[in-house]
Amino acid sequence: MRAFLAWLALTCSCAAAQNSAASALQSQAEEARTKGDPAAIKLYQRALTATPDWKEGWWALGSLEYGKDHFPECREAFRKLTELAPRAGGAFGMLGLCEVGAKDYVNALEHLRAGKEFGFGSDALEKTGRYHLARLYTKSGDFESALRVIAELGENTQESAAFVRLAGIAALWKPLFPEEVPAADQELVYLAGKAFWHAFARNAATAETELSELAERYPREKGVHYLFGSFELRNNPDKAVTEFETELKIDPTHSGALSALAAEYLRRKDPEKGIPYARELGKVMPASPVPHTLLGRLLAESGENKEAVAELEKARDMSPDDPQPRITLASVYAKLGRSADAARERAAFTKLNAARDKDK
Amino acid sequence: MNCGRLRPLTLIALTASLAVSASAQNDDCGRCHARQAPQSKTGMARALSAPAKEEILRSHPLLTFRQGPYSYSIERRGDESIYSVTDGKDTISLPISWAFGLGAAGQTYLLHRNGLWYEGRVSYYKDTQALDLTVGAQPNAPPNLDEALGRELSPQGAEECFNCHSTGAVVNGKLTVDHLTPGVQCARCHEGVERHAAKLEDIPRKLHAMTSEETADYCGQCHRTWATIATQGPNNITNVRFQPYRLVNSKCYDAADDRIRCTSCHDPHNDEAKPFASYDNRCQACHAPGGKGKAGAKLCSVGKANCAGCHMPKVLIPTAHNRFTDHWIRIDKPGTPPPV
Repeated sequence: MRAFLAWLALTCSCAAAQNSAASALQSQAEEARTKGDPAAIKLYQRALTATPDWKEGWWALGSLEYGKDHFPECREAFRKLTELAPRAGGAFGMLGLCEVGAKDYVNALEHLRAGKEFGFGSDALEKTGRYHLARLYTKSGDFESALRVIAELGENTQESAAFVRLAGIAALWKPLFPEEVPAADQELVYLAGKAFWHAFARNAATAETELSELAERYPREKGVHYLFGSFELRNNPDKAVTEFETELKIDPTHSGALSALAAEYLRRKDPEKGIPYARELGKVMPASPVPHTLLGRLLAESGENKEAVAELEKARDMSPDDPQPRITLASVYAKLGRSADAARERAAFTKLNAARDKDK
Repeated sequence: MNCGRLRPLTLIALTASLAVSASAQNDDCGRCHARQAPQSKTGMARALSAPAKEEILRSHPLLTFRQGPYSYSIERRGDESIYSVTDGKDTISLPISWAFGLGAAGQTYLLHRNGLWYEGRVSYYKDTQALDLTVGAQPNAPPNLDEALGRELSPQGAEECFNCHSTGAVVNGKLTVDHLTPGVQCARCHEGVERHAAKLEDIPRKLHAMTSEETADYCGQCHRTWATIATQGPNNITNVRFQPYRLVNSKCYDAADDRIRCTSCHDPHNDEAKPFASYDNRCQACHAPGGKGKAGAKLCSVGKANCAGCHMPKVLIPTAHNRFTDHWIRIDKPGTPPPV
């Protein structure tokens, strides 16, 4: 017993000594960082070797490395921090920015998206994080997501040339980083971005004039008429249809124009006009469930219930977690007298939709 | 009446009527379709009215309401009713453009301002004979006078309002208020009635030829389908108003069984109130000894009459100041809130 107590006392004193040493290291590191001492990085590294669960330390080390453009090192620091704090939006945001610096774009997109979801946590990071997120969405070809992020930025941020240019690139569906835009397209991109920015700043009259001028100036440029049509869709759907059709003359595979026309004719309950666009969309996007959902809904609207079921079942099977195809599928099953199948799809829709709402 | 003998005259009259309003056309339809003629007296046929002739507005020269810093009034001035809201400093006053709803439960007003349609933030309710917040309006006082006026409608939203409360409001997918006929007239439901008028053998599709699901979808264009509520809500007690959604949720709803569809109980051409007992034979078509219902259609252990009185209870929607018949047919246990 005596021996045990002696061992316990020794262990405790050793731990206390270790704690005290680690604490001293942490203080030294923080002091060095405050003074701008270049030794701060080494001190943080030593302190974090002793206390690897020191979250503030990882944040500080990562930030110091980021400030020096040491992107692989800062990525490592913030990766450790996200392991310790798996819902810290700021850490994910910084991790994403480090990955942007390291040109690790796939992971950067994922982590900036996580940062946005959890909340970046500071105004500066919010602005920078969203900018790079929109930039990466644009480069990856997910223009709708990019424009959503930019539109949110536009609500709370003053107009700046960088945001306007990025908005223009995304609005014209160009999968490019701003620095990759050819010199000949700079004006086009800027004017498109300006119109987009005004549209989302609720300055609709200015936006309409600018888009009209843009279409006159660049009548054969890809993306211009789709952008104009998207703007007009809410208040002037006839004009929007004309613009989308013009876009398709320039680029017959423009998936945005094809899906917009199919959806607009679905809204108008004019399936005969919408069906050809949905079929064409299916050829352009063979791996996507969207054309099947659209085509299924249009066929259901035209009373072609059996064909509609085939399309909607394809959409459901391609994307089993998506509630959207199931709602029309339920209705069409019911019209075909398949009551049990209809009830099953309605129940699945309710469950999936509730899960989706919870995630939001 | 012998339609054959009247045909030449009817044709001339009907063809001529194409140039006049849908309500005038209704009268012409009634010449042959006498059984459906009472449609013009239904609530649906009077679902929209211009303020000049609107009885509630005429009989209430001044209606007022106050919420937080905002005071509302609807004041009769000649043939107009002026909807005003003020925060004490500024005031927005507009003539009411259209009154939506007959007023059996309430009436909501649409206003036109700077080229946009607004749903008035306050509505009239029959139960209280007074104004209160429009169903669905955010309960908190709005941050500014513009929002206090009412809800700005998107063009599609305005189109939906008029398309369900009038006839001929939407032409080629566009709202054309100048040409509408107030209320749901023949041509609103019976698409192709003009062709039928011009060529009598071109008969529009009949509602009773539709399956249960098709009927629920058809009536649900305005009364809201299951899909509409499931995707857009509301997911609360106020969806009791949306009968097709509620009916489809019922355990006894069977899309393949034509006995349970809107038109089993409702004649859209005649909405005369009927006692509960008059619907019993619809329920007992399945829930009776020898009834050919879907498997498990049970017999009621409590009563043999007035089925709807218990199984389709009237549910109070407080914000609507009205009790609505719940079409979610069920065993309603006392003290249990209605499913939503």
